[in-house]
Amino acid sequence: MLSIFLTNFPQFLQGILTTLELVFTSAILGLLSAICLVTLKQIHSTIINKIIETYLFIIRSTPFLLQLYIIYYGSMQFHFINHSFLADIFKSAYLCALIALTLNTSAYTTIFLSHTLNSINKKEILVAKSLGFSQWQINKCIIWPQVLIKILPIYSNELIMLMKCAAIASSITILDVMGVTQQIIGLTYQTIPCLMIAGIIYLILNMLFNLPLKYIYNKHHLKLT
Amino acid sequence: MLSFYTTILKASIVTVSISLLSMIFGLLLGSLLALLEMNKSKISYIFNIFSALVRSLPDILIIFFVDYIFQEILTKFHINSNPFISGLLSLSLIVSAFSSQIFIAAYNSIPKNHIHIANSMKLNKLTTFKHIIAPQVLHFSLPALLNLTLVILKDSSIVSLIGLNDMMNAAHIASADTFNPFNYYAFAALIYLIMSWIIIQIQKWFKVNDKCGELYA
Repeated sequence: MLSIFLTNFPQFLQGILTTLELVFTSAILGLLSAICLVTLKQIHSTIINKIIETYLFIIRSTPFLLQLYIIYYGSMQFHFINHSFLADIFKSAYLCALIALTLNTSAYTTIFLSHTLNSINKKEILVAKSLGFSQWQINKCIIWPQVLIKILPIYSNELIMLMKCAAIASSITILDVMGVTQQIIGLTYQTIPCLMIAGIIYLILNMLFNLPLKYIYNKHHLKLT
Repeated sequence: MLSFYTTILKASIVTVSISLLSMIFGLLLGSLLALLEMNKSKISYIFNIFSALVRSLPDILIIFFVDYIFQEILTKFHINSNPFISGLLSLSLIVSAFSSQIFIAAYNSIPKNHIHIANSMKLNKLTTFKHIIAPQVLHFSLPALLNLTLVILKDSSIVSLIGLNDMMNAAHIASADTFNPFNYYAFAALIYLIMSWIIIQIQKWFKVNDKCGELYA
């Protein structure tokens, strides 16, 4: 098993880098868009709430593979995408996977961000308002530090699910870890050692995501209580 | 072109059947795995490691792995392998790993007093299980198990990559024939939406009407 890994090391490295790029960019973009969606939800307008609820419901109920296929294969059916500048975006498999992963994570992250926002102590906000804090200062000093730390355990779970979804992107000819494994299985016909190498790589990537978040959470969450 | 839509509808039966069957087998395996994991003997850490592995590795990797091993074993006996059965096996493994954690969490949230009281009343283990532990574990674990059904409904789409003729495959074939992939994939998405909506309504109904732990709440 080690010999297969060492002889094909450049390809495995390329696959690991592609996976890491996909996961990091979609995690950051997803988190930012989730924060935007949650602040939109706080406005309490019924139309915006209904739109966001339908978006969340659609993304929660359909499989990720289906979302990926709709964005990659389905977008080429429309004339206005095919013959404009958008064609370059939707033809490239990497950008389609990035869009689909960002939509997926932002939906799940908005759900538990909104739950965490509702679970903050309302008294703190009342006291801050009575002391004369502006809304921007309340957000910056009281709400968001608490929320971002409270969310870290759930968010590390979400990152693992993101990584599992990014492995599905290999079915659209992206050469991430799963794609490279399938390529090398086709070359060497040694299925079980290659799949075990892929499993070990995924376990190491899991630890890479979890340990920093766990360290930050353990360092800061006692300040909240 | 109406016939492609009916093909996708007929293929939805395969999707529903593989997810329901893998939930049933997976729950049975998962309760067994939960019992094995809660045991604090020296050998039981293997089951903890197994469950952690299956939970953290991507589902597509587990499906490919189990499919390859299943094919290898069956070709030694000269039987043709079936993507339905290998998908069923791998999905049941995944369900068992997740549901064992749900059962352990539900068992740990029963108040400890109940088991002490049962002990002091000299009820034997079968009676405590049947009247005290099982209803409360069901009461606490049902929302999470319905969530898991939603997750497995969506994971069953990955089994189409092995060759199962489910909705994704039917939509793929239909889109290759007529060059309108969006219509058929959107129709498959609509069927998934309807199935998920039904499960979410069941979840809401259980939240309002659960009589499982009423006496012991």
